Amino acid sequence: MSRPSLAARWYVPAEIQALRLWLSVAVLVNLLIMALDVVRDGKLWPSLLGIALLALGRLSLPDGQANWKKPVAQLLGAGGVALGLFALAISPRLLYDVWSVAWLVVPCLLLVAWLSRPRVADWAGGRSDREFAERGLARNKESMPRLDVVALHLALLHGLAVVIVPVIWIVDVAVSPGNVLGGAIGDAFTLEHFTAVLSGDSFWTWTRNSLVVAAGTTVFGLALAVPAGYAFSRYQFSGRKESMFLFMLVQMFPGIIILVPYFMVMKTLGLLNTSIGLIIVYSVTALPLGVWMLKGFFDTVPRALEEAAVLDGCNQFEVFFRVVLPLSLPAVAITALFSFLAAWNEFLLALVFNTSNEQYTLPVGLASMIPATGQQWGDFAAASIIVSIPVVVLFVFFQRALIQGLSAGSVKG
Amino acid sequence: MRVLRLWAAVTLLALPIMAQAQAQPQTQPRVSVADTEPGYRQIQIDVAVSPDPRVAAYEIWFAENSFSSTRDALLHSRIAVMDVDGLERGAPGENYDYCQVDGLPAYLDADGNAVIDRNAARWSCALTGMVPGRDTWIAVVPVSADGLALVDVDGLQPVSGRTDASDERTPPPDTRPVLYALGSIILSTIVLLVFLRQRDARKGRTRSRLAHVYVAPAVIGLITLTFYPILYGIGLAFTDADQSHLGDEAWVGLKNFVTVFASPGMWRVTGFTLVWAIANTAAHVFFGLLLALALNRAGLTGKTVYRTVFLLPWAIPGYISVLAWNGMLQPEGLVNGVLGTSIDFLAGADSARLVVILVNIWLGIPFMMMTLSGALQALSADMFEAAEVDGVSRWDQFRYLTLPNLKSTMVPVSLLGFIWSFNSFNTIYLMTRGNPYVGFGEPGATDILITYVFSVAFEYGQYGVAAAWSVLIFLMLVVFSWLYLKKTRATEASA
Amino acid sequence: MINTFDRFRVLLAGPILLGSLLCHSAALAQSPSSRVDPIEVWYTFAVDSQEEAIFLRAVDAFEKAHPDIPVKPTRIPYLQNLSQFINSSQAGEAPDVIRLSDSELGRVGHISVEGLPLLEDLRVHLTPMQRSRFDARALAAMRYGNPLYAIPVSQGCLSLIYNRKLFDQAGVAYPRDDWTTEELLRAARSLTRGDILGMSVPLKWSYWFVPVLSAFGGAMFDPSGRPTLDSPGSSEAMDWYLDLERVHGVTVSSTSLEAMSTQFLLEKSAMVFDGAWNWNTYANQGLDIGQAVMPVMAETGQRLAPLASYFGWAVSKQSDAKVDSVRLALWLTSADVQKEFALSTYMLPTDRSLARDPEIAADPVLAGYIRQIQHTVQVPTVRGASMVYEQLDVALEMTYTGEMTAADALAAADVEMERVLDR
Repeated sequence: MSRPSLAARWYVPAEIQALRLWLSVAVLVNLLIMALDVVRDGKLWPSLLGIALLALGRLSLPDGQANWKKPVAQLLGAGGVALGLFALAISPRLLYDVWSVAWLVVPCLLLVAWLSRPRVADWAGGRSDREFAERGLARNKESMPRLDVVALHLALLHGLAVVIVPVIWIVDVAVSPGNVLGGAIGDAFTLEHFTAVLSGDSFWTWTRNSLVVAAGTTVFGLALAVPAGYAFSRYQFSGRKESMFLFMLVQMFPGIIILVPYFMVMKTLGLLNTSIGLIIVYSVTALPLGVWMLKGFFDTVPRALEEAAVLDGCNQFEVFFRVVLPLSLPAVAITALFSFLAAWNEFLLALVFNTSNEQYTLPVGLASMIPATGQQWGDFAAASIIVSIPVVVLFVFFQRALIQGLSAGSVKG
Repeated sequence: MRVLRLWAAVTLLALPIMAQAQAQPQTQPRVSVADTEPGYRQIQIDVAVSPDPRVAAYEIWFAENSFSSTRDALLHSRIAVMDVDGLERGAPGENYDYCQVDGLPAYLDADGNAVIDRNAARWSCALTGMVPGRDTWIAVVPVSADGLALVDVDGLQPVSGRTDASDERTPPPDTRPVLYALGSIILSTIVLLVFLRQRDARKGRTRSRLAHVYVAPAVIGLITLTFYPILYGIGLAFTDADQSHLGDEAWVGLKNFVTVFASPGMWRVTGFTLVWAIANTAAHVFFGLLLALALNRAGLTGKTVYRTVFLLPWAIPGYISVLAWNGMLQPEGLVNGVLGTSIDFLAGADSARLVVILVNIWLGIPFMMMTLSGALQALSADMFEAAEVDGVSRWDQFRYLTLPNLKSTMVPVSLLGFIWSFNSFNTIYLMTRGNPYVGFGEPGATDILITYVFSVAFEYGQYGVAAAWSVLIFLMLVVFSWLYLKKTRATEASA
Repeated sequence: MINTFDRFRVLLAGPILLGSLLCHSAALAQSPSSRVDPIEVWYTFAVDSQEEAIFLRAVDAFEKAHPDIPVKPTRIPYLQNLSQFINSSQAGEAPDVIRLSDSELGRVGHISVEGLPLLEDLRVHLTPMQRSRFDARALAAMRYGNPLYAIPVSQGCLSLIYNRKLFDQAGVAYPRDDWTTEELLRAARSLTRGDILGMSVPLKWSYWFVPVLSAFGGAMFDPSGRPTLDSPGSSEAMDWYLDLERVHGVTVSSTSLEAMSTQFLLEKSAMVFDGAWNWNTYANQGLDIGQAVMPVMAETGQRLAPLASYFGWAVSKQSDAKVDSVRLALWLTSADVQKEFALSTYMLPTDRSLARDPEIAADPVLAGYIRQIQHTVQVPTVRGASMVYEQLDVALEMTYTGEMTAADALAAADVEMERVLDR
């Protein structure tokens, strides 16, 4: 046996590398499927057998030396495909069954198909000459990212499904006639709930109040958090650690028991039934996250940049606004988004501190759509969707700030 | 107005009958208004009558102005006259009205209304429904069993009475103590800041000369709004505060804490709260980081779409998505439809616990994803390029470059996430309300501390005990956070 | 150095100035103003609902009739009504008039702030004639101990609602008022086929258990208001009730209350026990539904009697315009307003004259529910009444899961109930 070259020692075909990872993941997913099969009272042996085939297939992946592994692996793969098709045939063939079978069949198919590719077959047959390996490495460099991206998309799509199914369900309730909670998805379509919600005057009042409060909170919250975060990041001063801890501390006492004294504070300050009152309360609520986020971000901005700016003749404010803040846009954006959402979705304080319909915000308004009897689920779902639209729009807008942060990041180095 | 018209109609209908009754007139009862004030909205009348077997009831008429005919007055009440054998006497304050006959409480009929003895010559009643601060004219008309008036209903001589008793009103809560408390809290904060500022100046820390000014607005705002309520809540834990006597609590020392530690299921619910908070925080950070890293990849197509969709659980108001999950997890819901089963996920203790945790994980990932995405953006791309050139593996890049640089964001955010999970109320309340039950007088299977505190406070009305629970939660979180921050040294700049 | 310190002081002066301004304005806000404050009335009818429209019309009419009494109606989310009222009362910001149910009264009744109850005792406000307009049971339900805390405006109860289409499909005769539970079970068994259930009963909700309990002679309280959860007949009742699923399989328990109405709305179940308040929800969905009085228990010969529940308008103890507030409450409970609510939203009236009203009698749903309300049981409005359901729910859960027998669970529930009340 000749001494393999360095390239040959490093070279493993992209397909094999991908299969190593994917088969392991497939084993894990099939374990999850088996757990679900227990819940479903289904037959256990197909999934058990499937896991065994995948695991054995993973173990018998060729290692670049001519041996028994390749044909065995291919045989196992073929077995997996057959088992999957059989399992599908005896199942009720729900979407779920198709998905779970796919997690057995697709990896097995790939196992069979990729191992029969000439290049992989050669490698598995023990070919390790330098030229072969070097060309292989070059090819890997090209195909690895592609395979990576495919895997990434696959994973993200799974996440997407989990995230979006409840959303689709809410949308379905909103566009179904009547006020039933449930029923088959997509069986009927109507916009009556949306028109019902949007035609009421109250909805627009709530929206206006919410917008005022949320926008005010965003601005005021940032105005409080940015200087504090900057001071915590840049200066060593007496009471620094204690006040940083203080920001965490005030979040720890359960809020519901102190609603009445909180109410008394607001009453004493004359802030009941005002938007300003809510803006101040929410800004303070959003402070801990904002201050700590911004402090963490300012920490990553090198002091050298500031010192350079000072040498260029900038004063402290100019340094902050021209150098530090632009570099920290992502944190500012996230703090702003957080403040906005905290104000937009908050319910309890908005209810307690307002006893006037003209001051209600959207969450309180939505809650007052729930009648004592017979739930108006359709209207409720439609309103919730309308409520989340501004947030999504705002987010798309904020994404730019996040991306700007990325380009700014490269300046730092 | 409407009531007036109704009575006018009744009176009109009764007119012809009354005319008939005038044939055999009875002497008008002599009515006098008692000097004693029976109370708010009441006028006490004393009535002297001549007992007459024809009288079946006395009608009391009243009006704001003097009247001679019942047409111009309202019927106040009709008090039956009957044999009182076998009836019980009423007691003041027990029934709707209070009447006396010959100085003793009147007998009551089966419905609890006062009745007058056939032979009684004097009776008195406290008339309810009188408007205070204004004269009211009152007349008493005896009527027969057929409802016929036994006196001339157009020649009544009402007497006037008046009540000036004022109502009992809860004194408005005194906001002055709150004002003084707030004032002293704000002032001492300012004094403290000035003092710290001067100390730094003395020590010659000139670089930080504006630091205290920068943090002042945030610190003062925070302290003003939250200190008083928290101190009040802590104080409440040492009192016997209870819904049945709010406003006059007495100091009871550590009694509430004894109650808390003696309550059944205390350790179980604390344990589940820890499981809940740790599982949630860990999953939020793990999946959030995973997604943030995945979406941070340069050149990934559909990044904006992915990010926007992954944001949805955060954007949609929590109560609707929790209710949606609740609906989807019902036996005939979507999850069962997909699996082809009909399992009631929320019925069993363990499955309900698992489900509430999973739903809360679903809700919390976007926030972590966003924060960590933001933090990832701050990392210098050059650093990774250099590492790539040096052949550092992806995993090592993550371990030695990404993670340490994310620390200054991840530590506080995960700590806040832990605190929020620990005190998060909505998911459990909307999904299960702490159910299923596990026993009598115990927190439910899915109760965490905060939901249990809520039921102690608002369902059982035990504010003091609930405050004691809150103090314990507070202490647990303070100790945990202090240790965590100390261990991770998050207050220090990592750069 | 000095310079920066001066700047520091200037910056600090801001908050101090702001603080003193706020304190000043707060002090101004507290100074007593002349009485032009409107009567604040809280209501919980859903936004843009029929109920809200009728209510607001009634308020408008009141303001026209009493130009000197302005009214400010405020919509409060139904689920938060009570807690919001309790919180506001503690902070001295209670509304003048509020609509509460009898079970909410049971919770509010024992609460006192500064030694006074939250609600005004209305006995001294009403003349006996004004009072006599109302159904005696409804009035009694509005009393907590001796005081009368609200003027009753509506009542309601569960009754049997069935889906005519599903009965026709299964070839089963419609329910009648003189049904026995044997006929009910026979029909439910014939109706249960495929994914259709004979009936939807939220088995773990004690509110639905009460009719069965009363048919077996059990009661949650004795007349003095002490809990009697383990009264004779109650464990037989619980077994009969849970056997609907365990033995007969005509219903399926669910953890969610919505499951009942959802199943019925989707025509997945043929019968429910539900209130008239949900009639429109079902009818508007296009279901062909009918109503019958709950059947007679074959084992005991007694009729299933659901709980009667009531709503009333109450006046806050903190109100500074109690006479006008009571005027408004009386207006809102007048026969005309009650009738309008009854005819369009199926809230059963409490005004006695309306029971004989031709328009109401001509409405089959109202008439049916008025027949049902003759066969109801009442829970005394006591503090325990608001806590008894939880204990009964636990007993149902324990029995359902098989951890305890019905008799043991009920005995334990009774012990716990006594403990809670003595606390």
